[in-house]
Amino acid sequence: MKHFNFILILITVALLGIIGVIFIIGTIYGSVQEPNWTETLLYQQYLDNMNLGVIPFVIALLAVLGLCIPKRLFSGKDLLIINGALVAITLILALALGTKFGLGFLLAVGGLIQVVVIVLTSFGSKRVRFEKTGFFLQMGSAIIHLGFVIFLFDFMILADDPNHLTVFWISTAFITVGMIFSFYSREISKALQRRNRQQLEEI
Amino acid sequence: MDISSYFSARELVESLGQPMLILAFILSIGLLLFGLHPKLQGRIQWLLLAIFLVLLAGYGLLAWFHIQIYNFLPLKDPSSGTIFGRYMIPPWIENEKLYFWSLLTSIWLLLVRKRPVQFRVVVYSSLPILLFLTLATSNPFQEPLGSFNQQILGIEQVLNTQDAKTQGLVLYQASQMLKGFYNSAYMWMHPPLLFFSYSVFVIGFFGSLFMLFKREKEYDEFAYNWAKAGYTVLTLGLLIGYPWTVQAWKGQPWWFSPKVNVTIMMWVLYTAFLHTRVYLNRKGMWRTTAILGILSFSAVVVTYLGTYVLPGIHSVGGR
Repeated sequence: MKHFNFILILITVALLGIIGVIFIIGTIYGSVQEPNWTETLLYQQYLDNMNLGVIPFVIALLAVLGLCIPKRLFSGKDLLIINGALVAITLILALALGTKFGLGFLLAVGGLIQVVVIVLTSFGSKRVRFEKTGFFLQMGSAIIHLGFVIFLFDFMILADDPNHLTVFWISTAFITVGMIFSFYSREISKALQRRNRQQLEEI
Repeated sequence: MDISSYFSARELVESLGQPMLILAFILSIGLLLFGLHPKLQGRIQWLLLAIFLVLLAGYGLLAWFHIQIYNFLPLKDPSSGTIFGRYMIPPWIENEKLYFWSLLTSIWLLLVRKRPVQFRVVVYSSLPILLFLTLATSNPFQEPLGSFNQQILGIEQVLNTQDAKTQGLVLYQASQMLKGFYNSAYMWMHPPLLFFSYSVFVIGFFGSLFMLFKREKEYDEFAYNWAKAGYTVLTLGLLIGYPWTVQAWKGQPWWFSPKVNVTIMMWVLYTAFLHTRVYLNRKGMWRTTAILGILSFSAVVVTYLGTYVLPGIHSVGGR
């Protein structure tokens, strides 16, 4: 499990590094052009090239995110089978119906699994696996990931949908609340314990 | 438009604000002297409070100026008297940004207590640096809201010299700018959240710096505590920029804006910095964490400087 986590982190770092290098090259290239070059055909060519260069790595990054999610519920062989199946179905859908559809499927499944993780964590189930202990920390981590999945779904699939803004605010709320839970889990637990103790004393 | 009242307010801001900023800068240098002098170290909190109050008074002056803009510069059709809108400009645009950042930093410095004096003095050094940069490069009291002022002068000239059709066109363009940029709800949320996080990162950076050289757990925790607060606010601020982007740059490939890319890289670096803590028990991880903390803050500096150097919608020159 730890080995799998570490490999996923290394892949994520490598992908982010590659995307970062492409962006740096693009930024430097864009910065040395004529002031009005965005109104020329050269700019359109630049955008096409940037898209071509960056999109495979963005897709790979999303796929890695999709693979990160089932690790909370499954381990060992099960995890490999489920991730393998997810990748296969995503690829088939992407080839048959388009990349957007394939990624939409992966994100939707990831979101559903994340909802299950949140429900199980809230009931204190031992089926979910986290690197760190603590109820609020685990809940926070799960909520952040759900928020990011919803955000990416909104960004990739719902950008032109009338509900785009509503979905965006829901994802933002999840990410923010998740971060507060995750970063301040000890403080929240202490505050709740203090309140419980006070209530007991009053009784 | 009551342009003469607007000019009077602008002059008042210039004449009162400049001495305030200079006073705050001189007092901030005093922080270093107080920190180095054993007899004065006990009074350093009072000096910090004085600097904060001077900066706050200056900020109050800027806020007052913005209220005067709202009162005196309505976008009004001279022939019909119809008011298209009033400017509700938040006090963190153009050359007010760095001052806002300095003000927030002065608040956080008040909270850095019960730490070794040597460390505190180094952390305090951030304020004179910020105030010097404000004075030298982004003084909000020297030609307040320069770009906005140019726009207003342009509108005023058209209203005084051009025919009704041109006036209508210019007023329409100005009202679009008012709605989509100056008065945008996102303008009240996106930039202040980012500057809030930048100011918090300033404090955390010194923790990483001391961790690298002193190698004490206390500094690592200090850096982490400030970084996680800044990161939460940074993430929220960046996310709020997204729907604004979709609205403002409809149909344009905003994701290749240099400033957006640099900012995302800064966020990624801080994400990596915070995640390394999961593996803090691994051999040598403390050094990686400290270096990442320093690199992340360097990205904050590059991101801010990008506003002046990189082309695009975030460019100071572009607005």
